[in-house]
This record gives sequence, C-alpha cells and structure tokens, in this order.
Amino acid sequence: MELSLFIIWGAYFIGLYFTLFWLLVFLDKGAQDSPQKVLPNHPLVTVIIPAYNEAESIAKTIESVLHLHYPRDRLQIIAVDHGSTDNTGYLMDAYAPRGVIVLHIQRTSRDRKGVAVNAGLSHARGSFVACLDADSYIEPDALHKMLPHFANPAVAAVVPRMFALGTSTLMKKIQWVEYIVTFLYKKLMAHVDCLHVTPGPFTVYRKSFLNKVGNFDPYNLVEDMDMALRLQRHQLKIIQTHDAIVTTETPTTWIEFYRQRNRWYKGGFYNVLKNKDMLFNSKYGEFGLLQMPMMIGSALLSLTVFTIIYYQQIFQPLYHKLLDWYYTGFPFTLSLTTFLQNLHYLDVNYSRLFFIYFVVVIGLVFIITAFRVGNIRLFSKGIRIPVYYFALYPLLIFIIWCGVVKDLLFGRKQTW
Amino acid sequence: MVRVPINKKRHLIALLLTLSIFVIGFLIGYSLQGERINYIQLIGKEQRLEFDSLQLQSLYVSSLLQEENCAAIGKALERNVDTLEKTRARIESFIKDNKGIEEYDLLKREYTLEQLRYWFLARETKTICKQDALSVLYFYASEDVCDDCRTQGSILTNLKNQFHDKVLVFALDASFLQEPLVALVKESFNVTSLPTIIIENEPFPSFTSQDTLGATFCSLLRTQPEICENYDEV
Repeated sequence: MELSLFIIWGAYFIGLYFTLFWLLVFLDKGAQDSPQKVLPNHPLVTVIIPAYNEAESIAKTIESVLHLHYPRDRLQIIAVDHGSTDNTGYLMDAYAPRGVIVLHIQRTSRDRKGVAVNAGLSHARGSFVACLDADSYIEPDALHKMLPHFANPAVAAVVPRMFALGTSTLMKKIQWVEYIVTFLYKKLMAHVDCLHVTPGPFTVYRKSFLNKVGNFDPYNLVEDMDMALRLQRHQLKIIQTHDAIVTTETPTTWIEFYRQRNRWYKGGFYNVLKNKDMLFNSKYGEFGLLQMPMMIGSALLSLTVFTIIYYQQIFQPLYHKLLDWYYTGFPFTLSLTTFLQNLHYLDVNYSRLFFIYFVVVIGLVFIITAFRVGNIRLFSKGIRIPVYYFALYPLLIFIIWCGVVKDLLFGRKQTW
Repeated sequence: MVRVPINKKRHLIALLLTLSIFVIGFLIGYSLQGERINYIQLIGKEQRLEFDSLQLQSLYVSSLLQEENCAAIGKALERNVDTLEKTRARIESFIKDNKGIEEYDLLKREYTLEQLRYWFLARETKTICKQDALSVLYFYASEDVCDDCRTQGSILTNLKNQFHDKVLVFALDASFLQEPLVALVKESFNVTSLPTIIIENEPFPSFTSQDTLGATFCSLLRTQPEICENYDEV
C-alpha cells in the first residue's frame, strides 16, 4: 500500500515534469521549420524501397516516388524485393522500364529489414539516401522541403511529418490521432537533439554519415531506431520537418497493431540496453539525460501506474461492491437511496481530484496544441475520434507493455 | 556537431512548475482536512447536546413514570444513533484517505466513546420504556486485519435500512486500543474473533449471513415488521 502510493506520486511527478518540460520547449521554439538556405543545385538522391510481401501497396509507393517534383535524372530509385512470397517482386519488375532499379535478394530467417536497405545502399550513387517503407507514400514536394536542411554540415538525417492513412476502423482512428500527437512530440524532441527514431517512411540520410556509422543493422528488430541511436552516439544531427509529408498505412485490426507495437517496444528496449552507456550521460546532452531514461521510464511508468490504478481504483472496488451486493441480495434501490441521502460535499477528496484534473487538462492541452500545429481541426473527423484516443490509448499502451514483458520473460521469438 | 546544450533554466522552470502543482494540490488537501475535522467536531458537539437532552428525558420519564413520552425518546434515540453511525463511517473513510493524521484518531476516540454512551442509554431506555427495539454491538477491524469485516458491515448497513428504528447498530473498532473502554467491553462479551456481532446479549462470533441475522432480529422482536416475511425462522 505505502509502496504503491510512493510509486504513484513518483510517476505523477516524473510524468508532469516531462510534460511541462516539453511544453516549455514548445513555448520557446514553436513547431514550425526554421527557414533554410536553398540548396544551389539538385544533388543526386537515391530512394531505397525495401519490401517484404507488400503487393497491396508497393505500386502506389513506387508511383509516389516517381511523382516527386525532382529532376528525374537526379533521382535514383532502388526497389528491393526481400524474398517476398507474394507477387511484390513481379509488381516491382513492372517499373524497371521506367528506370527503377529492382533487386531481388534471398531472405534468411534471421534477416530483418536492415538487410534489404543495406543491399540497396550498396548500389546507391546519391550523396543523399531516402528510405521509404513499401506501405508509405511520399508527397511530391517533400525533397524540396527536406534537402535544404542538409546545408548544415552536421545534419545526418531529415525526418518528414508522418500521417496515418485512413480512419476506417477504430484502431486506425486511434492511430490517426496518435500520429498527429506524436509529430508534435517529435518536433519538440528534435529541437533539443533528442530524436530517437528515424522512421522507415522517407527519412533522408546523408550517405557519407550512413557509411560512417556502419550502415543499417541487418538483424535489429527496429533498425530505424537503432540507426537514430547510432547517429546520436556519433553526435550527428537529426531534423524533424514540419512541411514535408509522408502518409503511411497503419494496422487495421487490434491484433495487427499489437504485433507492430510489440516489435517496436521490444526492439526499443533491446536498443536502449545495447546503448546503456548513454543513459544519464551528459556527453549526449538532453538525449542522454532526458530521452534515454524516458524510453525505459515510460514503460515502467505505464506498467506500474496502470497496474496500481486499474487494480486499486477499478478492479478491487468493483469486486468488493459485487461481493457485498451478493451477500446482501442485490439491494440496488436501497443502496442507491442511502447513497444519495448520505452524499456530502466533504466526502470528495478534492486534493486527489485536483491532481487528476490537472493531468487531464495538461494532456488535453498537448493534444489540442498538436492538432493546431498540424493545421488540422480537432474534430474534423468527428468528435468521437479524439475521445476514443484519449480514453483508450493509455490502456492500449499498457496492454502492449504487458505483452512485451511477458515475451521478454518467456523469450518469445520475433518475426518481421 | 555541437549538440543543443542542456538548458538548465528550462529544467529549473519545469521543476518549479511541477513543484508548485504539488504544493497547490497538497494545500487543497490540507484545507480539506481542516474542513473535515471542523465538520466532524460540529456534529460531535450536536451529538453531545442531544445525548444530554435524551439522558435527562429518560430520567424524567423514569422518575415521573410518564411512559407516553417513550415513543418520542425512541425516535430521537434512533435518529441520533443513525447520525453517529454515519459519522463514524465518514471518519473511517477519511482515515483511509489520509493515514496517520492524529486529529482523526482523536475524533475516532471521541466517537467510540459516544457510541458506547448511546449504547448504554439505549439499554437503559429500553428497560424504562419497554421498547420493542434491538441494540446490536458490532466489533470490526480494518480490512487488512479482518477479511470479512467489510462484507459484514455492508450486511448490517443493509439490515439497518430494512429494519429502520427496530434495530440500533453500534459499531466498535476492536483494534482501536487507544480507548481502554473498547478492551473492557470486548472482554466482558468475550470477543476473541472478528467480526463479532452481539444482538442484545447473544453473541455471533464469526461472519454471519444476512439471512441468519435477519431471522434472529425477527425472532427477538415482539411485533414483527413487514420485512420479516423475507426471513425464515431460525
């Protein structure tokens, strides 16, 4: 009891501190892109599209690259079929006449996406390399918005703004909000050099730096996070843009979502362990001091706080009430009238109410700010969608972390 | 590259803001506690006055043999015991909310005495007025000591709601040893296990179901209220 109280207060303090910290970063720096010098000419850019069984979206992905507003002769497009068992490879071959280089590589059971990207990299001639997941589509003006950031010689990667595509299912609706909120969070992280992921959907890298940090880890569960961590380790800069937009397909069902996040979180956990020397290391600035601990901390907070809150505030009282009702023959009307008669304003714990209220308000402020920053009306897809997100998202994250802990303890194998 | 340096000022502001939220929250809690204590003390004062008045009334009735006033005394007694019980429950929930506040313990002690005082008075008026009402002593303890006490308490509350003024319930925290009188009463009724319920002088030394208790009430009452149709005889 005392321990759980201590954990709750500690979690509250840390959670509040971090949220306020990020809001302060926002007040200080905003979320717009800083004006950049235009690159004088069109550097050669290589776009690598790794794919494993993406027949449904691969054509649309390649088309989106072909429609980039960029001189076609300054653009090298490499599509990598990583041993797909559907007709992804066949669909890719159809683009060979239009100048797309198509690679077909074998796939071993240990392989992750990094193998496919590295295969593409070995053929890349551009001084900049963009990776594009085969379920994502890039907006035509993206390169124009992104490349100028490389005028700063320390910049190793530029990340576009990601949008979740479609709101057909509840899961997609929640992710639609999630991606908008996450963007603000990432933009703020980037302001203080804290980005920990360079996502598969169209992160543009400076190729020399990719080579410098040793290209992608072929066996990493989340190779894009591993890459970001390595760039951070080499003190290289990652920029999050506001104006370049990529849309991505999101899991449709709960179980697909669970599998995706389970891989992300588990991979994230391994990657933090792998780089544990960066934890609390001020050599890595806010990234070491704030971001690395938070990646582990948020998992712990989510797990402990929700276990305690769900158990103490929901499960236990409900169980007790049902038990008592069972022993007293379910006197519903009688309990209700006595409850109403006994109601007294001093019975409410206003202190606790204030703490809960404050967290809710600050959470709402963050969400509303994220929508404003994204120039999207909060209720543009209906009032219910943000409400679903607010009500269900913390619970979903909790469930996923429970699964991750279970897998870590019982050592379940992970597939791509 | 040169990393964005750690902005100590920003961390400091975030820390100060977080701390001020905590201070505000705890100040709200602190003033709430004051309000709660004031409220309970006020009710306590009222109860004390009511008690003095009732004691005098019953003395008056017994010395002047004016039994026609018995009904009024019975009603007032029932009302006061009811308030007392509700306040006791309130103190318990306040203690659960904020552990280790000395004032609450003092208030609890006051109310424990008050319960016992009313219990004596109830027995006294019963002999004077020959009332058809049962006094029930209920020994309980907090949930971490006594598993069944919460459910037993709900059963008694429900029975009280069903029998109204026919039953007076006096709840005593058997583990509350700051008040020596509790130990004394416990000993005189030979209470060794919890929960224990004593209906008039008949002890029920373990968890007792609603049906058994209801049936016992009905068998001990001279005129049976309507609710007794729901309880089979024991």
